[in-house]
Amino acid sequence: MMVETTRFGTLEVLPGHVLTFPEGLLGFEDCHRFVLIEKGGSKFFRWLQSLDRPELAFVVVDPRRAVPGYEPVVTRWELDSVKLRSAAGAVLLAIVVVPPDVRKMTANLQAPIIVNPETMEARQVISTGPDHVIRQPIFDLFNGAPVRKTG
Amino acid sequence: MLVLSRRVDESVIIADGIEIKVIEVRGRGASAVVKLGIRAPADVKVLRKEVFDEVAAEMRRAAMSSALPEEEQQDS
Repeated sequence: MMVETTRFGTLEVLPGHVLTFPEGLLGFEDCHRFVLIEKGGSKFFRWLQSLDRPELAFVVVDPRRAVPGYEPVVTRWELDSVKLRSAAGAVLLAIVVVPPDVRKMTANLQAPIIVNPETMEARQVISTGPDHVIRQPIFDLFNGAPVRKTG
Repeated sequence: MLVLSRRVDESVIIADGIEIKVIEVRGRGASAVVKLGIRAPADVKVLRKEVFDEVAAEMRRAAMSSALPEEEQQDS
């Protein structure tokens, strides 16, 4: 299918590439369908583009790659909601904030997205780990270095 | 919204095995603080509602992130 986006123009999206969020994202509960876009040749960063709102796209990063040792606290119920057997089988995405001063860019480790890569169902969860902060600085990634955990 | 009055040491039970108990009430009026005890299965996350509000606000900030830094560097 062809999808109009504000940032990337018209995209062709294969049905199997559509991520489905039955509950939407926090603050964007009406947005249920997204697609991952690789732009800019970045090793770490991708875009999570809404298929419901052309102007809505988030920069995302795999928090496991960005912050070694990161593993969100996910309940059985949350895993069941996207038909995952274990948290280890989840693809993870963390939402990135890129402020005008990019050295202050942060990833949200408190509210990661868990994705079932087989069914493409996804859910944003609140992780209760003590160092799973809402604003983890991640600018070090641009030097190719993983990020040291806060605290 | 269901509204109940409870005294200290009284509880409400929600569904399977979730108990919320009033432990202590301090102060009066708008500045009063109620200390609650919550017993729930390990699989139930108990969160302050502000956490959801903070995350929603952070998501709105993220939605305003206009470009990846590499792209900015290429443009300039």
